[in-house]
Amino acid sequence: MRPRPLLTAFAVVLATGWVSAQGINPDISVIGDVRAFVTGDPNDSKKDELQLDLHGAELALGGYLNPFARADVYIGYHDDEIELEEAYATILRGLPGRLQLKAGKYRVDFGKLNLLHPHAYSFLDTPLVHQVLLGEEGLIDIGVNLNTQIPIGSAALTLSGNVLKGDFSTSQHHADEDEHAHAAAGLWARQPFVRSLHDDIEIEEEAEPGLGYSERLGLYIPTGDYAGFEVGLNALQGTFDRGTGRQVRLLGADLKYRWAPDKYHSLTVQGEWIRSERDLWTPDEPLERTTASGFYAFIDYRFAQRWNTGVVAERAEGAYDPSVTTERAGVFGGFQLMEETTMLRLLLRRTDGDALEKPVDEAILQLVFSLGPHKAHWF
Amino acid sequence: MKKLLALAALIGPSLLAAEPLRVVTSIPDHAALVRAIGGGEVETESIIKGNRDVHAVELLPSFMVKVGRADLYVKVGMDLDLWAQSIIDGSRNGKLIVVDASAGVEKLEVPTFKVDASYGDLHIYGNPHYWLDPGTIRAQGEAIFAGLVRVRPASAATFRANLDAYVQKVDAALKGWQARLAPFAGTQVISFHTSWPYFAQRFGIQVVDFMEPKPGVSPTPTHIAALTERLKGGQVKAILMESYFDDRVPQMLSRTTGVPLVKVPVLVGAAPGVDDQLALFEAITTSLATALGGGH
Repeated sequence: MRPRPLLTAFAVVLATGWVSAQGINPDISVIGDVRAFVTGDPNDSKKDELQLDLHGAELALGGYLNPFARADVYIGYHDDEIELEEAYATILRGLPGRLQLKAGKYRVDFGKLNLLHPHAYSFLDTPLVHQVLLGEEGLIDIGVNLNTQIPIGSAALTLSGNVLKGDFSTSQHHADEDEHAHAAAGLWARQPFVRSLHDDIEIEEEAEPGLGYSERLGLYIPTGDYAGFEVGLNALQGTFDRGTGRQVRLLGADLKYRWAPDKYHSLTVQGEWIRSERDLWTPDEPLERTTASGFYAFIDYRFAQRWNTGVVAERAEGAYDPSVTTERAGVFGGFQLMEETTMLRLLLRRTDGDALEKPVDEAILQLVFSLGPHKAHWF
Repeated sequence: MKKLLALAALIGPSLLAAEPLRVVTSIPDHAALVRAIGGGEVETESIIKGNRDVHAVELLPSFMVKVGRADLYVKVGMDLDLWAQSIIDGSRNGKLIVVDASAGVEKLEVPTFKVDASYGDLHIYGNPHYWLDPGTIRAQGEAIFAGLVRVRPASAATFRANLDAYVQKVDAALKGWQARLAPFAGTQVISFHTSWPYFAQRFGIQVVDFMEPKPGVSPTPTHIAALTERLKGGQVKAILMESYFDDRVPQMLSRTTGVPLVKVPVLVGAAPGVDDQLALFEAITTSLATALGGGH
């Protein structure tokens, strides 16, 4: 065979390019959430039977754009749909006033927990109050965030503000639609109470959201080298229908305490309360404002390197009908198989509420696996 | 007026120099090294304090505050303290100079194959526990020296003199530690984690197995059973463990087999009296020599 110098040279160039490209490739990680569960929900056609579910999978890409900025993208698979969950760029350092700037679609810093992806929760699911008042998966929107941190001795005061596109205000509406569409298939059978907390879909269908604004003030105070607490205040204002001028206002307060004396023990005590005000509209009637609130609180104790246990309690009023309340309480435990890349969690919980004839008990076993680089744990 | 200007020229630089150079390090050993090089011109603080595992550090807002005020950050490097980058990013400090203390260290156990999680927490740039070899202090110090000089070039001569003096002091002590461990050259030990290749190479100790079946993976019953048999064979003379690990399983293994357990600090500040690098190596050498029968 004749030598092909051009082809060889082309191959060398390609190979060199590939090698150098590897160095600037983003970090890639994949997280899966597989569940086995039994529910006592009378509306579930498989009540009291063992059911299996690929609850979700997530592809995360992230890396530095330059020494001072990075970008992150999260693509999620839930309920047979693929969705761009987050895509944002952050200028981390170099801005005046110790500012950080984030732009794109992202989890809004309304409270501490909303920043985390649900697979990181020891108690498995997005808290009721988040589902009802923030959105099915929490508060995620397209926007621009500006935040700064002010040192006060060894304490840190964080001030943050967001300008949001306003999609958050209709997220419950979409959640409602999805929920009803999937209810027959039993996909929402694990959370029968969500159905009871939403109503007035017709009003939501016509909504044309306007810009929203949210603010957070968080104060972290260390109480030791590896212990401290943070208190936060959160507010959000937005127009969720420009046509009728309907507004939504959220107010929240959160507290987190964490103590981690060594690699084998830690204690987290965390809670959040949220109050919402929403305008309701019906033809030929003046706007009516409804107020609803809710909270969650949990204690998570790590008693060995790979074992943790805890309790969670929640309460939420319906966003549009606060007289419909739901309470939920559970006990959970987690076990890392070898490393934190493979996690088994068990949750036993009871849900009760105005819309339920009798309390619904559930047992959920979750397997979370994560491929890719280890990520640091944030307070 | 001339006198005033002359006075200002005289006092000005010393006033500027009085402002300490702020350095934050990932580990206290590097904070100790920075203090040795920077002398009175630096204020140093470590993210890790006390008896902690360097591999896993939770990111506290107070860390960002510290680094936000710093001129220089010293990383362990080699992907050991990956969390440090998140602290640096969270600090919002655009003027921060970052130094990788491993830059000039000759790396050991650099994988020659594709590394993935099936090998445990294997580091692609090699074993990162180089600070446990006193012979690498010169290389670590040179990286830190370069960083300090970037921040304060006017003090280069002082930093250089301090570094040389410190390395001389460590080298002198190293001869003593080597002499005390020389009788045990070639002695086989097992360790809890893969923290010791640099130390072992320096002092001629052979680490032949680990409590962890793979780096970062907790001991399993099967692995412990295999280790028990190995220790009963009589070739292994000590179980060397890092003090931040739970010692219940190593204690049990030691009781079952009669092989002494040597639990030592691997970081400055991880045990009472271990306040600098010299004290750290003194503590490790003394514990090991005593356990191996020398008692020197």
